[in-house]
Amino acid sequence: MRNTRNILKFIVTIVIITGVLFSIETFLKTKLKSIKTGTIGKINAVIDHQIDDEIMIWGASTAYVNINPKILSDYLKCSVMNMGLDGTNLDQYSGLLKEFLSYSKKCKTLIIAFDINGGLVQRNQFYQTSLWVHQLDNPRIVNTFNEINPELLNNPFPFSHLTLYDKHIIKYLKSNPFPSDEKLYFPTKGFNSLHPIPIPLKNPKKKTIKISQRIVKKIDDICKLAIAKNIKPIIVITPCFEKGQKSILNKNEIISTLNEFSSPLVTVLDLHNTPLSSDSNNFNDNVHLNSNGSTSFSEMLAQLLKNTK
Amino acid sequence: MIFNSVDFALFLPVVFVIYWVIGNNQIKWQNILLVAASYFFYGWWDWKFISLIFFSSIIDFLIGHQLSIANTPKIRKLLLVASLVTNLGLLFFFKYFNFFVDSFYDAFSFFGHPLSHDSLHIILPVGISFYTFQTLSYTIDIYKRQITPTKDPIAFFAFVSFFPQLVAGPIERASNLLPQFTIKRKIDYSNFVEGMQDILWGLFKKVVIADRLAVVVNEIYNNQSEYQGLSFVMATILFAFQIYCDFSGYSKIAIGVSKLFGFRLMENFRTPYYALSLGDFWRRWHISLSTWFKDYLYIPLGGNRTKVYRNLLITFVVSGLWHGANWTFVAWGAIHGIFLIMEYSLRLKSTSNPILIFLRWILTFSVVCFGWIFFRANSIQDAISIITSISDISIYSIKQLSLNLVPVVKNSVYPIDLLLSYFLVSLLFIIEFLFNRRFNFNSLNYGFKLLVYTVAVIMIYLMGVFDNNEFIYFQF
Repeated sequence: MRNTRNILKFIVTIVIITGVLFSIETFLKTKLKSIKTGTIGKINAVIDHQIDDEIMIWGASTAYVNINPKILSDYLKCSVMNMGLDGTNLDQYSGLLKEFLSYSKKCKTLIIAFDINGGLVQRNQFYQTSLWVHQLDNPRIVNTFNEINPELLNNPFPFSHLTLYDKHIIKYLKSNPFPSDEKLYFPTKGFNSLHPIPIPLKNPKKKTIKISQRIVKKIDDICKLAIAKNIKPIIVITPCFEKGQKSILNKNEIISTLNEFSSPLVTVLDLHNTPLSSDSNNFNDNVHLNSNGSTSFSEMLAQLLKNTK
Repeated sequence: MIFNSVDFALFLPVVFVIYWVIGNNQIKWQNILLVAASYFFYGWWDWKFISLIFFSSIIDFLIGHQLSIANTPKIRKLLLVASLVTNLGLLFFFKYFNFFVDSFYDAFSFFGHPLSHDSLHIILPVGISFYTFQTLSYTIDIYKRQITPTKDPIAFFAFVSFFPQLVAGPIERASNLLPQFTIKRKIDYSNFVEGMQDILWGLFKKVVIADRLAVVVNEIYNNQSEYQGLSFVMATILFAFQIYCDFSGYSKIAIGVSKLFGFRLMENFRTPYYALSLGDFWRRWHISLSTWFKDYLYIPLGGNRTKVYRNLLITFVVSGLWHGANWTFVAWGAIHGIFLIMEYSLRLKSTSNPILIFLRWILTFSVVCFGWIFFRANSIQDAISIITSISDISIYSIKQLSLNLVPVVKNSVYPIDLLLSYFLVSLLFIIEFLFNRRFNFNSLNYGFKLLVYTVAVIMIYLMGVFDNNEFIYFQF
């Protein structure tokens, strides 16, 4: 009798704990999938096929803070969206971009922004994994995870995805816990303007950047996919403050790697060393422009895009 | 294989089921399974290390046997020396050879005669300090005629390699653990529940508290030039709890896992940060090691009978060196030795005055934290620069306090990391306070216990750090 009670207690304990974990996982997944703003909002919008502008700007933070889509849109008279994701270079967002290319109908121009500092650096760890976990049903996202860190998802432990959530999702959970059919909310079209006050720039340590062949291959794949859908790929090398340029010992190798993609079907705009780059008043740090710098840069880019068209 | 890994989460249930289903009521088969599982567990790091533990076990088994039949004191002494030389020789070679050679050359350089040399590439076998001390205690105890040697080699091999406590203790004595391999073990519900509770609490301490605190501690200690005195004070206090939760978490899991297999290991920690003196601290911290040093070094040196100060200093310096081949550990041991000497010379009497109790507690905790600076710092120079920074009085203004203790975002540390750290330390203090008051968790009703289990599991999942962080004490 006592044994039966003990076994029953044990089973109840396991069932309740499992049930609670299941509920939490379901809640987090549902809640995060409903987010319509910020980085998670951008990811969701692509996975749900809700975003499709004529010009799509992809890249890491150097796309996110350097290119103002409104300036491009006003100048080129078309819809523009900045899909720049903070801390996330092509190595990590390639799956998401492929997903976009799989459904896009409106997009005519695909801008892929690279900075010479981190654009071609291979990732060995996912950056802010928790912002992506809720979309692990998507095979393209899973592929990217497996390319970067094959061990991360290779975990047979129950509810192991729960362990991948962290502090970065807190701000998203603060919003309405039971959202209805909210629309996408990107008032600045995915762009983030940095403070205009110039910050004294440091002389960074000299370094040689290891160019990732995996990323090079990904650029090639993306360009081919875009061309196949009549989308014009444009690779933009974003500005770097002159002191920052000097710190990268193999800068020319990086530039020439990206320039090699230049062809009648792919345009490469090397803007890493325009007159903007010699004025520290344009920069927040060596690779991120402040609001003054991003305005000037976006106007310059708009002009070049018009000429390219 | 570490306790907070998926590998272990798969390994444990498999061994558990085989152990109780196939080996039920058959001690010999259970022991054979434990040896096989333990060698597998150990070989998971590097299969080559298995030969070391096998060699150490066979030497001590044979010496133990010979000690029991040797009739002259001279032969007995020779056998003991053989055991000491073999075990400590292995330990010295793998752990200290490069340290002493490098220190020797550094000393020449210091006096203006630099010599060039190459260090040997020696990999430190995980847990070697722990199992070496465990096997040593076996031969020493036989030599002192405190125990009789076992005639069962399987039981002895299982005792030396018992996987729950193989790589980070508790360092068991043959008198406690070895007999448990020779008696019938029964699966018991209350034992099982207690074991699972220990595993849960140990895992919570490791992945939720220790690894969470490590985020802040590592940021500050590894980027010293970016921080000031008060940040170091905060990081050191957090490190005190990090290392405690890391190590006591491991011990708790080891104790819990052992219970699942029907074994009782000694408690290794008893709420050490509630200690009111340094002596009291050492009766509560890493008890299996401190009692080992007391029985096999401090007392043979003369103990409290003669030259107490010398004995204390030697014991603690050696204990520091046991922790790692680095001068920072030697300094840490020496600090404890010196403060214990001071405490011993003051001959403090117990008091019931709450103000005095509080002052003693603060003083003890401060000395322990002072020692942790050396323990955690990457070098003696780093430790000195941290202490210099902490000693700068100008930083103790309200403005600096608000800058340093109120959350500061730097690099990978977010305000939430700091807030979470404060919360977890507070939570630990409350739970430890209850344990210190001999609170019996199992006297609570089932519903409340279920609530605690569920919250703990949720916190492990959502607040735990799962970067396969090894336990700090593995390096020792």
